[in-house]
Amino acid sequence: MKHQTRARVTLLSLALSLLASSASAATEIEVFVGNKGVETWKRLFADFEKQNPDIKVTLTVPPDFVAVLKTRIVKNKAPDIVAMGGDTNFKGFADGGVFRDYASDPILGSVKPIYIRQLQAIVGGKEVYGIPFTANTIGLIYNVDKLRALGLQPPKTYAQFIAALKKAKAAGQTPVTLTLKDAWVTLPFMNAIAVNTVPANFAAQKNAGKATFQQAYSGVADKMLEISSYSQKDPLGTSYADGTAAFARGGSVFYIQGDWALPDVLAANPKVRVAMVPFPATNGKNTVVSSVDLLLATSRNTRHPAEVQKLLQFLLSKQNANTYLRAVNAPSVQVGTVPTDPRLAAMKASYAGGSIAGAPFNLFPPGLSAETFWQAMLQDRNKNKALSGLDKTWVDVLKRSY
Amino acid sequence: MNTDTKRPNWPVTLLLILGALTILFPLYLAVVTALKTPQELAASLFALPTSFRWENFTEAIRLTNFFTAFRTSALVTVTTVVLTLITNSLVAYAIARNQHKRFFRYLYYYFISALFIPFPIIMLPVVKQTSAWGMDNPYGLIFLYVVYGLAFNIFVYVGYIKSIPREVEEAALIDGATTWQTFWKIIFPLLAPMNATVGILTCLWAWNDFLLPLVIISDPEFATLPLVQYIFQGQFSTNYNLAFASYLMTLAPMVVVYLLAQRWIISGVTQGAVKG
Repeated sequence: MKHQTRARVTLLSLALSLLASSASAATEIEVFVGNKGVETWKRLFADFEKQNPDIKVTLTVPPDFVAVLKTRIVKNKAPDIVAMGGDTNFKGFADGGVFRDYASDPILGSVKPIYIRQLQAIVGGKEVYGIPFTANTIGLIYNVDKLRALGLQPPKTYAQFIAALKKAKAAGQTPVTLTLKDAWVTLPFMNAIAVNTVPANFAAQKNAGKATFQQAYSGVADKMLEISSYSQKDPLGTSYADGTAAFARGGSVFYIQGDWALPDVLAANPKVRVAMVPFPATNGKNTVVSSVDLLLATSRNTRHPAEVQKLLQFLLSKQNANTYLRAVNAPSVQVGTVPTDPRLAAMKASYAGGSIAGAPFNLFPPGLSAETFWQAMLQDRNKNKALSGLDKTWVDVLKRSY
Repeated sequence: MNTDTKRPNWPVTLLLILGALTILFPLYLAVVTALKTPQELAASLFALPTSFRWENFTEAIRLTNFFTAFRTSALVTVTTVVLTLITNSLVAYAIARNQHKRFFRYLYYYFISALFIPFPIIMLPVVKQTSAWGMDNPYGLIFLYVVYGLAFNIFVYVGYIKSIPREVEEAALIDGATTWQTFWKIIFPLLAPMNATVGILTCLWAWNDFLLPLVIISDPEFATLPLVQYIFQGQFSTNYNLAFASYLMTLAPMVVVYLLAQRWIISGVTQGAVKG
């Protein structure tokens, strides 16, 4: 009997020790961030707390960002600030009235209007439910040494690109690595072409029933099929991680990805020389896809609006924003900036000249899963099946959400 | 006995070797990946590391806040197993010995029917309810595990208790034992093989579960080990070297539990095998 009591006491004390969390007088702000640049967030928040001893910033890196954010909203315990992508998940939360509208807030003044318009287009309204913080960019990545060995310049037009692919193939090399085992990889591929060949109002027209994939995306599908015929042997058996490592080891001349792939390429092989050019989707001037990679949204029901605003201003100051940008190697969203990464040098002109646009995919309705259709098309090479499937599913998804 | 049995049965041996390889090979990959640098991993998936990189482990411990998560996981798992064994067997005993009464029969089917309800269906209400009652913490989690375990555990316990002869209890009753004493002194020890089964299954479930802690626990300080593993997955890429180092540390306690408990399971099975 005696040792039973002792066991019970031990259990109870274990339980109590867990309950004893620190209760301090400072106002606490909770910030939800993804897995990118966590150490930099920690450093920035530590600086902020030093300047504002009465505010404590709690950093949360949820294991499954969207699922955890949803459960928190259900629990009425939404975090004060959320750093997330400007994607369809963002649209879902914004539509649900979770985030505060910043349309008339001067805090947006330093952000390039193109990124603000993107967020408006994603949600579909005049409201701006998040403050763009970093951008991403999609382009054609190439192996500098391999391209030079072939005696080629980085392609500027679609015709030059296909000619380069042909030449690489003739030289016995793998022209381009595709990693189609991960369906999402088809999206940057599609975006890079569609932004140049599909009217920007396609999503709105499609919602109104005035446009179809079969008509508008036919050219995109043709180009995806043509380029993919120059890939390595088993693109559908190659995952993003494997393909990135293979490209880094010099497995192919070209790689179609966003700037986020560059750190992964260099992690696999720090010695490889790579660079990115605007994706040569057409034979004319090509627009570069650049979307809001990370935005800062705040909970509409935050109990500490003043402190939240203070933290936002701190993060958006040029110096602090740059600290984060440098750490994650992402292009800036601030007015008057161009990418500073030397590997993105060829992209600078597009940014300076304003020929950048958001990813067309971000305007697709959540739940369409366009990536699975493209993945299937590149597998069975049946263009009509994919495009008609997209047309039909889009209509079904709209019906589901209204 | 004839001499034929001394010859190795090659087809079966070969199958066993193949079977063992399907388990050992991934394990080999996990161990060597945990000891490599990302460059070595990119160079070759299968090769042995040139030098053991123990920093992967220390770095993984730092990034996941391993010991905090370990403490939470251990608290949840140990408490869940203890409470499950005590309470679920009690409920099963009450049901098994009263099945001639309609109330207990219905109760039995009521509990069993929970086996057919997939968790995602009740997820949202459970999240809402636990939060409203201040149970979105490890204690709420323990409570939920003990309750959710009921369906399966009652199923196995009741079946086993029915096979224990009532005469044993009658003898105890004649000796003056109360129902309470009969359960703890006679039935519970006889349940040892079932206790081992339920204990091990519950232990594995509570230790490895991802979804329930993900949606129930609000405070990241109370994250369990499976939750913190996700720190290594970027939006698109995973740091496999650190991740596997961390996975190995997370699964090690379960391997120890298995090695220790294995004896019990086998002894439990053989106990029933020979009629004494």
